[in-house]
Amino acid sequence: MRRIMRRGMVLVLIIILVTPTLPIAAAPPYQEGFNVAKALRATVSVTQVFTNSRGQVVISCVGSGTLVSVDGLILTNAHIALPSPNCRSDKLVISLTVRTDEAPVAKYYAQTVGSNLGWDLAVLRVTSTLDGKPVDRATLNLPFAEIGDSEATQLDDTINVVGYAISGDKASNISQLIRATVAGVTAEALVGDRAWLKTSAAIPGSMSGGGAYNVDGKLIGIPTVEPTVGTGDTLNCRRVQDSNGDNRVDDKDICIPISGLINALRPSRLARGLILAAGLGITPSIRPPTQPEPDLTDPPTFSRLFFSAGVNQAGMPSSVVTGVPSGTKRLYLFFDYDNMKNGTVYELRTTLDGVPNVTFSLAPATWSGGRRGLWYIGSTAQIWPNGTYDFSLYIEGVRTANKQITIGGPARQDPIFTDVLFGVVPSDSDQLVNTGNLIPIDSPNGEIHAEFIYNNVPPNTSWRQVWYYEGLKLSENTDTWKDPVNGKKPILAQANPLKPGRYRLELYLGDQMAATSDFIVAGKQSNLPLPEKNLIFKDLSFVSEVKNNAPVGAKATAFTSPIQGLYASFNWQALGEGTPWTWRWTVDNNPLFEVTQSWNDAADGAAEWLGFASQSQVVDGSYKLELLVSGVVMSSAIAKVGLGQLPPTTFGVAQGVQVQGRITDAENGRGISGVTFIVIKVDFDTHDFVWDMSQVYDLSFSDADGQYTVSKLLALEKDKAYSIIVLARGYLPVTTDGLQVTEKTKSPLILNIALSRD
Amino acid sequence: MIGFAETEHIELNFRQRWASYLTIIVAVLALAGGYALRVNSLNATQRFENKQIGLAARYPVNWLLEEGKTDFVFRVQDPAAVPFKTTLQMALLPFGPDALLAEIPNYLNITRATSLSTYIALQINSVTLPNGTQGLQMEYAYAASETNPALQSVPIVVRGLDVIVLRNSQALVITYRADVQSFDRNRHYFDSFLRSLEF
Repeated sequence: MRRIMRRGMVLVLIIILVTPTLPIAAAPPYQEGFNVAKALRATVSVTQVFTNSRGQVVISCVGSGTLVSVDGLILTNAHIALPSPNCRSDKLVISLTVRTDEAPVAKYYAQTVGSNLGWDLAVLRVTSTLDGKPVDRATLNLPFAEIGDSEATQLDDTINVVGYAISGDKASNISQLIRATVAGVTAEALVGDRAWLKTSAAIPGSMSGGGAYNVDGKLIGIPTVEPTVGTGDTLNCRRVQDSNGDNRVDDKDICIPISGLINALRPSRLARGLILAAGLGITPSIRPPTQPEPDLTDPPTFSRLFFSAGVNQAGMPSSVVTGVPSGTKRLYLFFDYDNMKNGTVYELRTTLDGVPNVTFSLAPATWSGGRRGLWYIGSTAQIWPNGTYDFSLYIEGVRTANKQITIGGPARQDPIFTDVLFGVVPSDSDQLVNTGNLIPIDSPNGEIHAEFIYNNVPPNTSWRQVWYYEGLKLSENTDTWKDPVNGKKPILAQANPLKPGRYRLELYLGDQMAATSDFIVAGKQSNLPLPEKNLIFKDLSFVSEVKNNAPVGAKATAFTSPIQGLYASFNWQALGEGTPWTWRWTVDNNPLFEVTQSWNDAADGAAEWLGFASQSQVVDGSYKLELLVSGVVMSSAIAKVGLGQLPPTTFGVAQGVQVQGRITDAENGRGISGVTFIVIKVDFDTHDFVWDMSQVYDLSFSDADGQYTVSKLLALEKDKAYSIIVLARGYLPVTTDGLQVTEKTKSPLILNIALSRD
Repeated sequence: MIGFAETEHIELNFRQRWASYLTIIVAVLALAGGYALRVNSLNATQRFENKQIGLAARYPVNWLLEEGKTDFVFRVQDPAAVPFKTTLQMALLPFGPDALLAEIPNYLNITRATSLSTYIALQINSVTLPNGTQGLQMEYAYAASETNPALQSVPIVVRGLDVIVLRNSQALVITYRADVQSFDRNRHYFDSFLRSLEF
């Protein structure tokens, strides 16, 4: 056989290492570690569709996404994945980038396997081909992007944003790459100072859900903007299909929302937990609320807008400022919200001296703060230019409130109150013990202790303290300043009985609010050290099963595999309805789920549960649950499953070089279909090959155009080489040994081959 | 004036004449030998044997052999075939002792319809294998689509032929698949395979 092969062989092997063709002429093929073709191929188009009463499939929404695993996990925006009044859907269609210079090709259906509405992130899983055949995830071998460290991204860093752009030029529906720099970092309540990365470039809204890559080619952000459809003349959508089957396309047909320009990215850090949970095949669950959500009949409002130069751990303002000096880097806009519903779209538009300023604005985003509370948006990464700023807040595209502030001039020595702290004063001491923004309900005599720092306050200045409980005034006290000019002042309020719930303190200098903070009264004091001194959650334990909405089975901290779910059960005391609380799951110290929600149960009770269920079995690992109130961990516990450690392959990233190219007829240059391209394992060469699949590393067959792609990445094998056989009936076979993969080999490796006729 | 020299006719001697004949004969023999070698080479087979499950057969050389997968115990494919890789395959399916031979095609149709596009069963006949074993023969067709999402090809219409025999509590399904244009032309591979089959 070998002799026949050798004798018949006239090698016309043209192996040309070429860089992939780029759709964007301006972009160089590679910049340091960034591989344009790889990023473009990992980009998918996500289409929401539904079947109407006539059995016709109707497209309702489109967006972009990024493949983040070889077996078909896709990261995108939640508003692209989840059905909504503007995006009716019963199926998600995934279109892949088959050719980087062509429109995407619909290939699969997908399901949403994890989402966070507030972060506007979702993870999808490819489930079946378009003809309904289930996909074998083990053999998918899809191109994918690796998640990078978004926290390491700095101001002015170069980023590459990739997604599908549908613009005025309809022919441009190909995956696009837009070069940009990080122009700012936006803070937002519930997420923190790095809630958004701002970009210098205006990115088409249809690229929302795509990917933003650093120069190393790692995914560090997800371009995100909520579409605001609008009404009447401001309608912002496209009618493309006769969705009601009346043979014309008019205003009775589905209108696909168009998002405005994007200049904000959700950091990929927020997506890590969702992706890990999707990879482990687990979905969170919690006991359904015993009390129905109240109907929101009144319109949503934003009110009491003010500015602060800092935020504490509980998300409360450190001060209230009416103007800030030149060189200010940290500035936050705070505001009260009421009657808000999670999923509502809100927006902040900022102008500087009357000119719109995108860096300090927040593009339409999804609301996740619950019905009412105190919210903030800010910027901390760069110096705010001097000028007069106007901050206007919008709800569903309608301007709701605004506030102005002037930045500039030297630091002023105005009287200020800052850093309000709450706590308890033990019976054997007169010092306040800080308990964060949390007071136990059994504080002696119903006393609420607080203290704040004051500076530059002249004697006899009129000042006032006002206390509120659930929005109602509890007490008010006006006085003249008798303390020194600078120092720390304790204050006290009393409520008998002290009820659990949300409280607020406002401090005024004259008529101007100088400081404010919300705090929570919940739980009871215990003999434990802080923070467990205040006991809200008790008897946190784990079980592996929930039946009839109740945890069942033996409580344990270690479980033997296999188990189908892991659930935590706990009791609670003195937790008022509507109080925000957070539950957070991690596995082996990697984030899984973090949800902040309002307490919707009685003030005291037992056997609350939350947990997660697995599609097959819970993967081995150490699962930790933390329960937080006011940003403080009030209770936590760890449950070990199986070996108590995630399998080493969990975070494994496929390494290696992808081989692809085109096989053509040497005479006419046309692609040859159905050619077999065999890669032989490094332990053999073409002389040792006996046509046994056990010797084959992987093989591919060329498509109608002669294109082929070897699915399995060629692993780096030191001092060893792969061999290749290419054969098709009617052509002389091509064999070659010595294909080495080194650390310098670029992926994909393009091997174009011309075959001579037999 | 140009004169023409009279051509002298030279008689070949005995040796020369036979040398010419021999040259022609050798050339013809070489061509015939080459052809025979080519035919031999193209039709050459090699033996496959799995003693554990008690199967043996001969299959064409240079076909790619794969063994021991979950859905088949033996499979060879012609890697040079274009566009579809002509396939010979054997699978062992466990069936209860009460199973009837006629039930097995039904089972195959149901399972294949969920994984093969536009699968359709064509005809089912009785068949007697070269070793005298009675079985069923089922023809079917389906569209083979590109499974690699990065590649694009027109689906290939594949014609298949199963020979099914019961063996203890197992059904032995011997399969031949080729694209519809090559099916009859390559059928001899399957016939040779069946003739060589020992089980």
